[in-house]
Amino acid sequence: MRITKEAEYLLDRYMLSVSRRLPLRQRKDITEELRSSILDEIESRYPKDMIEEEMVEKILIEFGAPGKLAGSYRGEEWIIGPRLYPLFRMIFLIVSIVVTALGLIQMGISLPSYDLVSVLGKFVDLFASLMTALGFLILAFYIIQRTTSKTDWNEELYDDWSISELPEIETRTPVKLWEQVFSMIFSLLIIILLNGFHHRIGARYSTGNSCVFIPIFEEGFISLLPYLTVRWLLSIVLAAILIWKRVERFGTSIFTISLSSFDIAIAIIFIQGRIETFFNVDGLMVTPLASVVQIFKVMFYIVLAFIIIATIVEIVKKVQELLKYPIIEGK
Amino acid sequence: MSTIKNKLSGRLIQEYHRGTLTLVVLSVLKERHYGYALVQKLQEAGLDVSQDTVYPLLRRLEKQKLLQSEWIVDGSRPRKYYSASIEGNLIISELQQEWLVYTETIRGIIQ
Repeated sequence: MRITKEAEYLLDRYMLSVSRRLPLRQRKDITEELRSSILDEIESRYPKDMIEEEMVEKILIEFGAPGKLAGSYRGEEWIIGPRLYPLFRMIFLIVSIVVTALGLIQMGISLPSYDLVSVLGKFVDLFASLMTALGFLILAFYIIQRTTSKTDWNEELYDDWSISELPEIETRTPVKLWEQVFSMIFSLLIIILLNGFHHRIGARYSTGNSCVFIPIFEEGFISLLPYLTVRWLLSIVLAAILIWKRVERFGTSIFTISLSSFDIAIAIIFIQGRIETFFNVDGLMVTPLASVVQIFKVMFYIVLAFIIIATIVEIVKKVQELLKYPIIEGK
Repeated sequence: MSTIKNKLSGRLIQEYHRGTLTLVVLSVLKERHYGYALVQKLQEAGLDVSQDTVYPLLRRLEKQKLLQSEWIVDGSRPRKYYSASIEGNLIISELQQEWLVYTETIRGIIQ
């Protein structure tokens, strides 16, 4: 039995809405099983060659509100029910971003004077702030959950549900969680490392009785650092949004394309300026690292050219993906 | 008033149906079934069960290791098949025995 594009899209919207409310660990399995059983129901009721949108709509109405369906998998002992959970998640994300941003700004302002222990201490403080915010938020939502009317969350609150409430799908690119977490951690570390310790990164070697330190970065690189920092901060924001949304959407695709374009611009600046403007290659040539520096001098332009080409390919792919699905205003 | 009464009685009936559903599902799943076929079978037998009751129950029983499952591409799409595990099979006869004694007791009380 085949399915029309419109019918499949409606089914996808429903499954997306259900899956957002499901426990993370079982999300994929439950969604696939539900989808399969919805199609089984349609096939048994409409013995036709083609599944059409109206058929899917009728069956979905019978399956009921996505929140109700997802709630049946969560059992009765939730702290925050499926009805409140999307709101909780949204507020938590906003609070997390604000707390993290404020923490990082505060850290960035006073970072150069910190030693490594102080920086780690600041991170522990930031983590504690996030946990405190989460704790208060859970408590607030728990109180709301318990003090609102004793209406059966699984039934009566969903009586007025209609198919038009389903969220639109802008693009269907699934997000790999580990990639985004890695991106956040990498960006955070590089921000800390380069903003706090760029003057300490270099080659240290001894000449007889004395110890000589040659820093790796030149003024040219340091002048670019504020722009690079903003770029990495934006990539943290992007990763947080993608972790929250689970799918790459129109807005996040545009965000990614903008960041990639910025990367190309930076790579071009590096190519246009000479390597000596950004890195102390001449100074490092007199150190025991001379052979590594020699390779770096050759590889520098090759790697940059590769980055530019790979990023352009990535942008083209993203644009193609955007054009593949209709761009519809989400709810 | 009668709407509230109907809703209340409906909910009470649903509650004890839910309690016995585990026995029914485990008994049927001595043979392998996928979720939709299981719901159909129960409905054809006269039980008023819905998918949103049966599917979460299947998950719960699987988590309790009373059921085992596997995805099989059957016809046009993959389907998740469930069957009673060794532990599940062991517990079925115990539950069936308990059910017979229990219904006999209840019958004696309400008659």
